[in-house]
Amino acid sequence: MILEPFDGHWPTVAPDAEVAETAVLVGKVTVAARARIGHGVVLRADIQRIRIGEGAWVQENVVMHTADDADTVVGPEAVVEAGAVLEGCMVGRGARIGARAAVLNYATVGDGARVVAGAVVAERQQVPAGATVAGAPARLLDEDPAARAGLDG
Amino acid sequence: MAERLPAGACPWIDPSAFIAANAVLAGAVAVGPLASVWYGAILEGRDAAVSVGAGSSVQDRAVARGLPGQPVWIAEDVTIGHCAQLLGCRVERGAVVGLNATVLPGAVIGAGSLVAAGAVVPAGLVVPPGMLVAGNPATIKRPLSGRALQWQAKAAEDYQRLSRQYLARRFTPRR
Repeated sequence: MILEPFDGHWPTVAPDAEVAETAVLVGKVTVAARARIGHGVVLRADIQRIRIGEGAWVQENVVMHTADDADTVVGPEAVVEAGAVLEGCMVGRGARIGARAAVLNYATVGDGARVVAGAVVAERQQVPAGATVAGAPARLLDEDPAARAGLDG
Repeated sequence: MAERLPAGACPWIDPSAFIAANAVLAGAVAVGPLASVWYGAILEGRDAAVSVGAGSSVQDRAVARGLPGQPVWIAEDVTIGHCAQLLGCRVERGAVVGLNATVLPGAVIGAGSLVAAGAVVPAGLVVPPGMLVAGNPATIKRPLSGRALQWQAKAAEDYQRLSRQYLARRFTPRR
């Protein structure tokens, strides 16, 4: 992994976390125990903090930054799929952010919620715990299983 | 027939620009004064030039690729968001391309316009100055106003300030 300081702060990585060789961590980043950070990931905490919870999985080429005045927090056991982008937002415990989805500043993704691949969770949008959202801007998905067909993968 | 650039073409970087450690600049690439190219960004100028104007930022994991006969022109004070994809297109002064957005060949993003996060701007679409563009395929929604306009005006300035702080760092790398 590539670690760089910013404003005197170095990233901290738990001993049993797994960070790929090509991942870049800058500034006030904390990676908790058992978390996994994939190849090509950029976690750039040069304004506020980035915290990756225990057992969370941040997949390949994910980019995280922060808002001017809000941290980016990924909850324990959450999954951020390949190519997703997170700004200053909160992702709850066990939530899943789909591939190439985006979560913008001040948004909240509740515990166990699901953001479908390619969706854009708008600034300040709140995704309730356990909900599934899709589209840009993201909308709550109908609970009708037929409407959800083909989105799980 | 598409012509490739001479094999010797190599990047030109103004000494006051910030280039992150693992950014890739290949071929005919120019990066102007006070500009910044962030972690994992790729400027691919081997088929046609990629130019990043003064004070512009190309953020983490963004890709700008010149296509034969279609260079990428990024003017001054432009913001290219995280993971955006630019293929053979023009982005005029002060415009913002949102994170995860895609701009296809021949498109022109007018001065001070804003491409929303995740939008896909179709090939050849010419966006007039000061517009909001969103959707997939993206369409021109309306003139920028209110909070979006303020944010757009601040974006370039924020990154110019941030990149100065990066250039001022002195550290021994750890891996």
